[in-house]
Amino acid sequence: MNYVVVGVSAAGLSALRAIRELDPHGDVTVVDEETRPAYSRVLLTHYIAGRVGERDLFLVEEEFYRRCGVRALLGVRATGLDPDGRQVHLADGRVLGYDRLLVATGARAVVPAWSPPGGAGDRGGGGETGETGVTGLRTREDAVRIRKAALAGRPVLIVGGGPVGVKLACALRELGVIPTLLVGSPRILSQVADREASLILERHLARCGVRVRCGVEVREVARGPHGTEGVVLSDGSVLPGRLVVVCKGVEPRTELVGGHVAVRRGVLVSGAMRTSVPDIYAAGDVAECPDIWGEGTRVSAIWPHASRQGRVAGTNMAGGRDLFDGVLPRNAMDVLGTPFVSMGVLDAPAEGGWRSVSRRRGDSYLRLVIRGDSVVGAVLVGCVRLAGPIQAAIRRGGRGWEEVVAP
Amino acid sequence: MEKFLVVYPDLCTGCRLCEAACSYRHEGVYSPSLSRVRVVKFEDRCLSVPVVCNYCEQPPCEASCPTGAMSAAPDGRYALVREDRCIGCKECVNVCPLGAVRMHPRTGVAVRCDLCRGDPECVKVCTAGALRYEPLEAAVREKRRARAASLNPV
Amino acid sequence: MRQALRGRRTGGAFTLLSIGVDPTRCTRCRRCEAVCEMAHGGDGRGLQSRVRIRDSGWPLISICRHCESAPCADACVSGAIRTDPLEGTVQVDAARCVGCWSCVMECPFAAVTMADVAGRGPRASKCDGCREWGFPLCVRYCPTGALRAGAGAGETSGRVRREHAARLALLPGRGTWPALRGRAGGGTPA
Repeated sequence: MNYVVVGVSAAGLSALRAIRELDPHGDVTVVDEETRPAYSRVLLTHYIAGRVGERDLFLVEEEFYRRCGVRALLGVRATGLDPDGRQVHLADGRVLGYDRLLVATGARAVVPAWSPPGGAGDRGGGGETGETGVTGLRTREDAVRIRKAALAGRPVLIVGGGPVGVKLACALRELGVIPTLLVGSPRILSQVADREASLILERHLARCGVRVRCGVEVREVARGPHGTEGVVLSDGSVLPGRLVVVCKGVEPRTELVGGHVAVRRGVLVSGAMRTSVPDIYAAGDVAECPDIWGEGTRVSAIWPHASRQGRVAGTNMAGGRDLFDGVLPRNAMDVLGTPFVSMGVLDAPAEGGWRSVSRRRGDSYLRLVIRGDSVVGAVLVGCVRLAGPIQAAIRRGGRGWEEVVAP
Repeated sequence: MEKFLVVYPDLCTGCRLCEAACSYRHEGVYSPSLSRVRVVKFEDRCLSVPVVCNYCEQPPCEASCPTGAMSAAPDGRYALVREDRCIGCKECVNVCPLGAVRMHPRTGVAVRCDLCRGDPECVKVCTAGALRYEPLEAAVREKRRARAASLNPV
Repeated sequence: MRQALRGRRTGGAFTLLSIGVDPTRCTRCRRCEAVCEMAHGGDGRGLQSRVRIRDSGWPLISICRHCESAPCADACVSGAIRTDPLEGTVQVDAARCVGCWSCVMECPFAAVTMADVAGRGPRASKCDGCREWGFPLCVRYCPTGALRAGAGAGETSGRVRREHAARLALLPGRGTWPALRGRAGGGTPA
């Protein structure tokens, strides 16, 4: 049996391990455009803050692939697919035949229109590549660049008030830098928090010295004789900064298989991680799966999903049987000493059957979103002790939440 | 009429054929440690007692499962362990008052009797009649008859 | 949720230690909290206890179950939480923990909390099986068996199974069995 895995980050790595558990002798080839072994993208902000060293980012050592008897083509890009011929084409002209293919190509940072070419999200692009310029925060190189710039005292502007932007702001603050966070929405964390949680956290960030500006759109990058000098906002004002970090979300990298398999925003997969074409699987940030309620598909680009999906895909590819029981969007973070956790559906429509249950004490906040009798979402700030039991309740149909939050 | 796996412990000879049949049916090997029914022996009293899931009306294993892995099959009849949800916390193992739920030594998931989905193997091999698959009413009737007989020996 | 090898047990049947939790037996005496606090260098305020008892609600006993496929280990972003293959317990390596709160978000039993470690900031803290003490002290002090220990879940359930079997078979005061007296049919004395 000939397995090809394109992309070896969270999903690809789990898949690899699952395949080897069931099939110790099959031919396994992994292809990844990064030259170094798999590393943890989630740790990048912690690396910037100085909590982990660069070496600690790696999930496996160089020897890992050889020890598993896996052929690792690192620094090579997959550029084309021939599903009928069962072949993957590589940038260097090579062609890989497969019996089972896993597409784990992940997602790229969204590059807004105002960002210069070669800036955010584009690896090794043109323009400034040192301590000034425009970058995303997706790769190890991005993180190394940001940390160096911050340590060198370069003022940093973060564009995007989602989890990555906020985590980056906290990491920079821990380094002793005063970052500026520019948020297009009226509030930070608008996709992963409710209004009250956003408010509590924004006030906390401000108290800790992070400059937050909401409801601002960037029109273009301001450049001067020495390179990037800041950004020009839509109202014409200029905000100074030397390094602009764009954290505007990610989009799945479906180019390899788009046109060959069913794709919506991501590559559509079943619970077994199968795409619309037999023997082609997808997992991780590139995949679009049903949610845990079975009510629609979505891309949910978080690490635990990628790990789990990769494992399911690998198990099924190698003849085993496993099922992914659906995405449950969720995230946990430390916001300069205040923990924040959210999960599931956060907007409760005003119509009948939906309600919220919330508790607030000082800066500690808990809110459950209930549909009928079932909890389908939750936000916790400050005291997040019940986050795990609430997630368990959501996963088992949403029942029993009253017992979880009983005082 | 709903049938249950009814245990007649005083008829058990301790042969353990039930364990062999169960493990073979579910795991493909003869291995008592993988059996859903376990025979407990009291050697000093020459007694053997099979213990298996009683199919409680209010199963503590299901109530205590944090992930919903311990559940019933969609038709509601046979117990099911959703392996994709089981995290191996062993809560079900520890709350079962019978000790009828166990952990699979290899896969690390909870294991309990699923009545072989209506055709229990252990019953087929139990020549002593210690394990029967019958409606509860029949079992109760039989025991009532036996009790009456033992009170009034003829 | 069986994921990365780092969170997976190898051979649960041979675990050296398993702490079995049966909340149905808990009387809320909280001896476990007190002794755990002391065992882990606490000063009595409860900040070091890795077990926490609620008066009601769920989960009643917040203590690590050392799950076979621990969600905390699966979610750990830095590889700080792993299963010790020898003991079968799930352990936190505080030096690798970055305090991201992911494990807290995943544990259905709210067994993981954050405690300040040597001034480095909050790091994941949970039951470690009392590896320095040789035997889980909460189990030793639990009066009702709500917390039990055994060599694997097989042993803890095996003891319960034996007690149950004894109740079935050795009902007190019934005398000898009809079957043993050679009478056909027998039947459990009602």
